[in-house]
Amino acid sequence: MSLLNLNYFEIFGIEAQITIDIEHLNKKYLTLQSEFHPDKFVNASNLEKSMATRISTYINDAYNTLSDLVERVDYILQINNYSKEEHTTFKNTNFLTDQMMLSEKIENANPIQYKDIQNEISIEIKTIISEMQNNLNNRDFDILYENNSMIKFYKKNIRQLSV
Amino acid sequence: MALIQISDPDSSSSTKKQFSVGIDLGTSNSLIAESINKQVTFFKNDKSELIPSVVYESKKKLLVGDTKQSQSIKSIKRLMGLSSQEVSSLSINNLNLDLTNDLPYVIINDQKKSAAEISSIILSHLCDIAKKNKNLSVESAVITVPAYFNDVQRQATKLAAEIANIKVLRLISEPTAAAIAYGIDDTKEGNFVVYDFGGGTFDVSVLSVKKGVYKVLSTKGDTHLGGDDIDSLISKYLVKKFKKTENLSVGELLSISKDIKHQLYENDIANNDMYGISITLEDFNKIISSLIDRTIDIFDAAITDSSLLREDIQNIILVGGSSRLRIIKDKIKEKYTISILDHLNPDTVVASGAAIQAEILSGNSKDDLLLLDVLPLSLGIETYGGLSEKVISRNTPIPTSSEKTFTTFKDGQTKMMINVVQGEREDVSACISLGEFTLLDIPPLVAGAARIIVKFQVDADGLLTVSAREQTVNKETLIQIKPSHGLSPDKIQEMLSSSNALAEEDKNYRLLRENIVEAERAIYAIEEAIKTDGKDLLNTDELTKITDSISYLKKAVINNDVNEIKDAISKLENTCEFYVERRMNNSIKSLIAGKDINDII
Repeated sequence: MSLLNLNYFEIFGIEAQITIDIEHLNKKYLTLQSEFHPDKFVNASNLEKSMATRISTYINDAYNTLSDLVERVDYILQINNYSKEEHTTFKNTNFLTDQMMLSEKIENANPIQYKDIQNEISIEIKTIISEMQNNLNNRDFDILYENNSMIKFYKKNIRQLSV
Repeated sequence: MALIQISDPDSSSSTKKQFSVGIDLGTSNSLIAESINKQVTFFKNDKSELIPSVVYESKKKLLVGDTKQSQSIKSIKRLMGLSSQEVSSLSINNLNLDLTNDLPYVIINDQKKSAAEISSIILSHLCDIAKKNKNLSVESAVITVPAYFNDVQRQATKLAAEIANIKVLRLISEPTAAAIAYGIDDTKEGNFVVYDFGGGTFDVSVLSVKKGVYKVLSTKGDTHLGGDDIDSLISKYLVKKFKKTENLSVGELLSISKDIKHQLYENDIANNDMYGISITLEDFNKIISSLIDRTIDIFDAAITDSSLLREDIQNIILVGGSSRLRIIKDKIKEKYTISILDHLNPDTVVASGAAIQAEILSGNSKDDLLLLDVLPLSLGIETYGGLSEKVISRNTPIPTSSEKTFTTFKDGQTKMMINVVQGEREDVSACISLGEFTLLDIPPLVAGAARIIVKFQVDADGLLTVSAREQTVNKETLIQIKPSHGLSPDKIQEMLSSSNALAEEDKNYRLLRENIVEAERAIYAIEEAIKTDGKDLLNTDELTKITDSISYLKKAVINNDVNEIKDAISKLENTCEFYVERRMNNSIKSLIAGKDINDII
C-alpha cells in the first residue's frame, strides 16, 4: 500500500466523522509537515525531493479538505463511493422555498438585523450537523448528501450577510 | 529529517558546511548576508550593506552599484516577468527600451539585455562582494521575492539566479523573511501582520508564528507600488510649483524628490537651496496621501482574508525603506490599536531573514524552523467566453496541486490548447496569462471519449508546472509551452548559455562535479537505508537489483563521464523508487501511530 493511497483521515490518524477535533488536526498537520515539507529535503537526492513535494502536497490537500466542514463531508461521501454526479438535482422543495424566503429576508434586512439572522442560520446549521452524524452512522448517504447541500446554501447566506 | 536518513546533522562526514547566503534582490538596493548561529553579517561594498540595484556600462562591461553614472539601468525589478505590452502600459521613462518582441529588452549603449539578465548581473556582483569578504565562493542562496510576485515574476527571478550560476535553496517572500528576522530576535509567538513597503513593491502578509512554525495565513500586495511612485508624484509637484526645476531631466527631478523624501523621514520641512525648493511635511503628506491609502486598503484586505479578528493580532511589523514615511504609522494608528514593531532596520531586515533561512535550509544550523507559505494569486484556466475557471485558489498552502479533466470535442482530435492564467478576476483579460499549454499526442478517439487529466503542481517556491495524462490509454501527454511573456524554453537556454558567468570548460567541470555529488549523495543515502531496514523491507531479488544499480553508478563515477553518471543516477532512482516509497510509508505510519502528539511537537 502506498502512502499516497492512505485517505485524508488516515493520514492524520483520525476517524472519518462529521465533526473532528480541529486542534488535533492542526497539531498533526504541523507534525507531518515538519517531517515531509520540501524544505527538509533541500540537500537530499532528487528522488527524495520529488517524493517530498508529492507527499507535502498531499498533506496540504488533505488538511484543506478536512478543515472545512462542507469539503470534509463531500470527502466522506467520496471515500464511501457515493457519486455526487448522479445526484446533482436537489429535490427538497420545502427547503428550497425556505431558502427563497430567507434570501428575500436578507435582501430586505437592515444591517442591524444581520446578527440576528446570522444566529438563526447558525442554529439551523448546528441542527443539521447533529443529524449528519446519525445519517453517516446509518450509511444513509442520500440524506447526508442533502444535508451537506443545505449547509452549502446556508454558508452562501452567511456570505451574503458579510458583504 | 530526510526520509532516507542521509546523515545526522551532528555527524561529521558528509555534512561539510556550505557557504550559503540570503539575498534581498530589491528594486532600489540589494543586500547579501550570511547567518552563523543566527548572527547575521552583511557583506559590504564601500562600507555600506545597501548595494544599489543599478547597472551601467563601462568599457563595454556591465557593472553594478554606481548611482552617479549618467547612463544607467535602475529599478529593473519592475520589469521582471513582464511582457513588452505590459511594460509599455507602465510609462517607464528612465530606461531605453526595445519592445518589439514579446520579451522586453533594455538597451544600454549597444547592448540589449532582458530584465532577468540585468538582475543576474546584480546577483553576480553581490556574490563577488561576498567572495571578496569571505574568500569563499557562494554555493547556495535563499533569494527573496515580493509575496505578491506572480508565477512569471518568480520564474524570471529564478532564471536570473541560474544565469548567475547560483544554486537557489528556496525563493521566499519578503514579508515572511522579515517575520523570521523579527521572530528570531524576540522569540515571539502569535499572529503578525507584516507591512512591507519597498522601493518598487508593496506586500502585506499575515502570519501565525508558533514553536518555530511560520504559517502564512494570507497575503496581498501590489508589485508596482513603492517608493519610486512617491518620487515620481513629488517630481510632478516640483515642476508645477518651483519654476527653477522646469528644465531638469527626469532623472535629476527624481533624485531631488528622493532627497526631499529622505529629509522628511526625520524633519518637518525639506529644502533644496539650489532650486529654491521648500516643502513642509504637511504638504508632502497631502501629495502622497491617496497613494498611502491604497496600501492601507490592501492591508485591510489581507487581514480580512486571514479570517483573524483584530484582537487576535499581536503586532504589526513595518519593513521596507519606504515604511519610514511617518504618514504610514499615522494612518495605521487611525484604524488599528495593535502595537507596531519597527525596531529592526527596515532596509536590512528582509536580507537578515533570508540569511537565517539559508543557514537552516543548508543544514548548517541545528535549529529547526518550518515555513509554510501560500500561493499569492489564484491559478485558473480560460474557459469558453473568456472566463477564468479557478484551479487553485489564492492563499492555498504550498506545495499544492490540482487536477482537471478535459475531453476532446472532435472525432480523432489529437491536440488541445489550454491557456493558464493567474489572478482573481473572472475575466481572463484582467488576469496574467502564464502561457498556452498545448497537449500533443492525444490518442485519436471519438469526440468526448478521451479523458485528459491535467495536473497543476505548485512547488514550495510557488512555481507552477503543468503535466497531462490521457486516462483511457494511460499515457503521459506531451506538452508544448508557449509562455506569454517571451521566456520560451529556447530563449531561456540561449540566456543560460550566453551567460558570461563561467567559461565553457568551467561549466563542464562544474556540471561533472555536481553530478558526482548527486551520485555520492544517492549512493550514500541508499546504502545507509539498506543498513537500517533493507532486511525488513526488501526481498533478495529486490536487494540484488538495487545493489546492481549502485555498483553501475559507482563505475560511472570512476569513469568521470557526465552523461554516463546522469544515466546511472536516473537508473538507480527508478530502481529505488518503490523502496523510498516503502520507507516513507513506514515513517508516516510511525507518526500516525504515535498517539501523544505533544511529545512530538
